[in-house]
Amino acid sequence: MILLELKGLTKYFGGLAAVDSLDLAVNAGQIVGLIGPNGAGKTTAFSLIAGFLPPTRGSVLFKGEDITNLKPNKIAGKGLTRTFQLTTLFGEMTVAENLYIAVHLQARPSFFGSIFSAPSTRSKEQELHDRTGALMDSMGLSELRDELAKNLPHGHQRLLGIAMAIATDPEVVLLDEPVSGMNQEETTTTMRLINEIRETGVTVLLVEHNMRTVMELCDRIAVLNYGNKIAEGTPKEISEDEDVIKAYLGSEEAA
Amino acid sequence: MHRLSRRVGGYLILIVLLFLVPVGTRDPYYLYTAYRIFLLIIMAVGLRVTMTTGQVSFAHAAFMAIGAYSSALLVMRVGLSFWLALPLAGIIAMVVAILIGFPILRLTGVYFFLVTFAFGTVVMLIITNYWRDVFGGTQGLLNIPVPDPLAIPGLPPLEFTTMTPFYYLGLMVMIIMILFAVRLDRSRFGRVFRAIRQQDALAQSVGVNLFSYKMLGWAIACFFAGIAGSLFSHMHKVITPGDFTIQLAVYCVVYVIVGGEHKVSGPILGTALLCLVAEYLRGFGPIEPLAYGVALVLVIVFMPQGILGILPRINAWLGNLWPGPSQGVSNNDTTGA
Amino acid sequence: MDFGLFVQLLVNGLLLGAIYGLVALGLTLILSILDSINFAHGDMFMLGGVVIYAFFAQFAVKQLHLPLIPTYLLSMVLAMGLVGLLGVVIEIGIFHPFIGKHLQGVILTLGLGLVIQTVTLMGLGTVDKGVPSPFPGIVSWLGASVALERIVAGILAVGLVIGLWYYIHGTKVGLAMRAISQDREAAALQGIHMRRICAIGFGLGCALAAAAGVLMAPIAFVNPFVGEAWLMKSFIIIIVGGMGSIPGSLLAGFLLGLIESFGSFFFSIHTATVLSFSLVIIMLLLRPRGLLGHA
Repeated sequence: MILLELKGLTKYFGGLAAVDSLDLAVNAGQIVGLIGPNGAGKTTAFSLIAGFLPPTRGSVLFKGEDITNLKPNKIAGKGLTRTFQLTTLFGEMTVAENLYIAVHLQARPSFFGSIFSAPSTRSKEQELHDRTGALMDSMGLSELRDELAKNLPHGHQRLLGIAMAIATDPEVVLLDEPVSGMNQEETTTTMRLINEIRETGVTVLLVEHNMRTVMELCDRIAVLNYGNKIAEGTPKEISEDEDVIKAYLGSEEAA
Repeated sequence: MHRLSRRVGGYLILIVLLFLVPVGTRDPYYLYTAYRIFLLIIMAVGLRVTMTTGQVSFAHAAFMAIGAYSSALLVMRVGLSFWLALPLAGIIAMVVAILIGFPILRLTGVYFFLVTFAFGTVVMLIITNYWRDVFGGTQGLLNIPVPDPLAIPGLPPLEFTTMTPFYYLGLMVMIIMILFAVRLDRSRFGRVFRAIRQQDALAQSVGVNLFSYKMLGWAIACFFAGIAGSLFSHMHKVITPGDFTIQLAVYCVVYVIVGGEHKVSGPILGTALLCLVAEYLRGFGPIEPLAYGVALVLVIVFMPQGILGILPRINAWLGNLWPGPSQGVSNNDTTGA
Repeated sequence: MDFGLFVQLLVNGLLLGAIYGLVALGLTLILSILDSINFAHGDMFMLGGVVIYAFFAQFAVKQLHLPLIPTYLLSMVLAMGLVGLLGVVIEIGIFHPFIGKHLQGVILTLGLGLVIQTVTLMGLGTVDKGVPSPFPGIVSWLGASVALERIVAGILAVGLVIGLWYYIHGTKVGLAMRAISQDREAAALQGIHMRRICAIGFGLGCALAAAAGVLMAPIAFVNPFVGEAWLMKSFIIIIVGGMGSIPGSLLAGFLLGLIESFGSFFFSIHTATVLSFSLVIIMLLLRPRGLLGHA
């Protein structure tokens, strides 16, 4: 079943097309990779899908519904979340507090319930507490729960970012360079986690430069260059595709 | 837990002391000054709520005016009791805030505070120059009645003929408003506010509706201002547009920043300290604004987190008199809008 | 409406507008180069008037009986120089670390403004001080009567704006300023001497405000409190005209001058003020970058 579909998605900044007529279909339960040289438009595509940028043309369909012009929080509510290329966390809050915000969608806080500490509010809070605890366990962050996010080592910060994105119980999650800046060990752990995320039924769309990650994790890969999709297929097909090889050799990008 | 009960104990002692002040001095001037400070604290604590979401307002004085004039008119023209007019004044200010919030909360940072600056100015211009039969023009409203006597079970009814009952009224309302603000700050709403302030894109990506939360913070802040306005009207008995200047609005922002935005206690400290400094300098004539200006410059340059930022250091120096939480305030600057 | 009256209102509006544009220009310069809102800007304007009063009115004219016009112009240069220098000192000494931190910059400059105001108050007292007009007389044209002083002031204001334009677009320092205002990081990476240019920028902005103060002194009066009103006018202008735009400031200055001129005639000065602030609100909501501003 096609869960996420991009139709002719286009974004111009001034005269420059950052993303040009991008068509992509993502099936449920897949891990799809989006690769390409720097500046190819991958992160822009993510911002378009998740509602942070309005497209110049084209549309984004999620579960058959047109979400093109919806706001990011609405899209998150429908089950699509993203992480950010530059580590974006609530730096002044602890790991636990960060996740606490992320599970926000799970229970609408009642205003007067919060002020007056109503029992229904308190039991909801407890539920959320448990949920964040479970999340931290699965991501291996439990020991760091009381650390301020900005004090975490880089690898753990990226993990927290991923945890935030899946905390909302999404159906599709867009991961923007999840293993960037990680060493071998951290990369392997994260790759395993992404697979586990897929096992729980979440569809993953991935932007990455780390070729090993992409080749090993992804079911399908789409390649962008200068905003255009130049190839799409299985990892094997992509690694043998001439246009892809040319695109990478032709730019400064070292895989 | 031991630490916590010491802190709560400390606050209780402070509150008891405040309650005993009128026993120590009947001088209406001191009580009046304290009342004014209570009102400004309500204003500053309220303003902080909207500043936590990243929206800094220079219209706070105008909302106080809306509360003040509404309350006075409700009592004088509509015949309501002060005790009803007080919450209504807050609500009216809040309603105006919500209406204006729809267009202006789309703006952030500099643009937002400039638009509140403009809006505040327009409101005061309207109150000063139009509908003089309602607002009284530059003369304002006169002969505003004091609150109706308050029946307290077991005691003779509290009549508002001297400054003393006003002192207690101000103190009680201020304490209630502070408690409300603290509960809000500690709730999930407070957390989400802070999250929005730190990384609004991230908050959105996990489903936070920025606009709703900003509107909530904004409405609450203006409610506080309206309440303070009503309390002002019925004690002062005369209100003029000159009581609600841009300078007051700016000062409210100053109180919050100087005190520290991180916690509810910040604006309380900032207001109390700066007001007491101003009082002390009052006798020296024109020195007052000079000293204020110098104080502002010094605080901004040397205490970017406000007083809250250096409290842990002062506390340690005093031998840990006040057992506060060790986390304190981080070094990261969060006050640049 | 009588044609002469129309011309009078128009001309007065434009002349005053030019001076408004000049003050606003100083503010927008500081905003572009230092990404800061100078809440002491109105007080810089006020200081310009003070220098003129002290040096021109009290010293040169009253005591030395020097000829009016050259002394006036000399005093203007003096005022711009002194206030500009003050600006430079403030920037280097205190302000530089707060570049880009809008809220703290506001409070800091607010505090400085209070200090400047109070010191001036202690020196000058609260009574309005008059400054003799070096260009007395009325010019009649097309049925309109306009004070010569205003005409000269307006022309000088426009002249200064044009002079600034050439400075910004014709000198190396100006080029550096434009670079910084477009992209601060890139400019720093290019080796532009940030501290020096920012200091000059701040000083220049204050000098322009002072120049406006000098021009207004013979038309209005001098006292320590005029700053606030002129600060507000500058805000109105830079928002409507576009923050960071030189032609925008002039255009919005003219616009404000005309609104005030015609508004106070047909309605009242208050309505004119309400109108101008409402224009600000509308601008901020519909087109935050102003009429001629960059996005």
